[in-house]
Amino acid sequence: MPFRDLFTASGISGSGMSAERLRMEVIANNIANANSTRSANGGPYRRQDVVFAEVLGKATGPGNLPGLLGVEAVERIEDPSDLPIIHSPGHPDADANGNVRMPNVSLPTEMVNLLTAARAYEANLKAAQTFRQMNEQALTLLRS
Amino acid sequence: MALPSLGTMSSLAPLAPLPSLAARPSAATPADGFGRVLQGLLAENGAAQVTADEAVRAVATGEAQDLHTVSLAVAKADLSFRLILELRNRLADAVSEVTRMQV
Repeated sequence: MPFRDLFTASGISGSGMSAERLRMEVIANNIANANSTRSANGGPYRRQDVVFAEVLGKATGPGNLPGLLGVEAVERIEDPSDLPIIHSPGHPDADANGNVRMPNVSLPTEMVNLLTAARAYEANLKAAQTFRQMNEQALTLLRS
Repeated sequence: MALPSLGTMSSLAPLAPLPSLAARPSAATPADGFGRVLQGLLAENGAAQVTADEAVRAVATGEAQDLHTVSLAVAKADLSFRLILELRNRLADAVSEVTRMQV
């Protein structure tokens, strides 16, 4: 299977791009739910984050090191930090004292995370482009 | 100066017989040569093309998860095809060089 090994690098970059795309989805979900006082598990929406892990293949080749297969998102966690409380007696989710617990999403943080995800995606894209360029340059060796 | 008469010249050595055709190393097992390598590469490239086709179809039918997967699949098919094309060109060049050889 000669080609499968030839293009491992593009697969690794692809996994990185998929992971960053998922991160961007989670951040977009955080921003969209910045004011949601109800969520699937009862209370107000909690900010979410993704956990990435390295993917390794079976050990082959020199040094018997595990093969490199990129990254994958393994978990989506909720931020356990305190929920801000605002006073809004007219709110349907207000407690007896008129206080409403709001999501712990902070928009500036989410914006910075969004920027980080976009830049990381770009970095993976650049790696894939460079890999392609390297291959094209190697192909010019065959031209007389 | 007296020329020796033609009759006194030693007769020409007979031509050596041609080596029989059967004695040549028969154009042995052409399937083992470059052709098989190229066929293997072509099969691999076919698989890459199919993957790229499926990725593009997934975009067209709205099933695609990411755009970059499609782009990478197409780029992979393109690169592998061009690798085979360059190999083929080199082989064709070599063959035409041989056919142009002066004898």
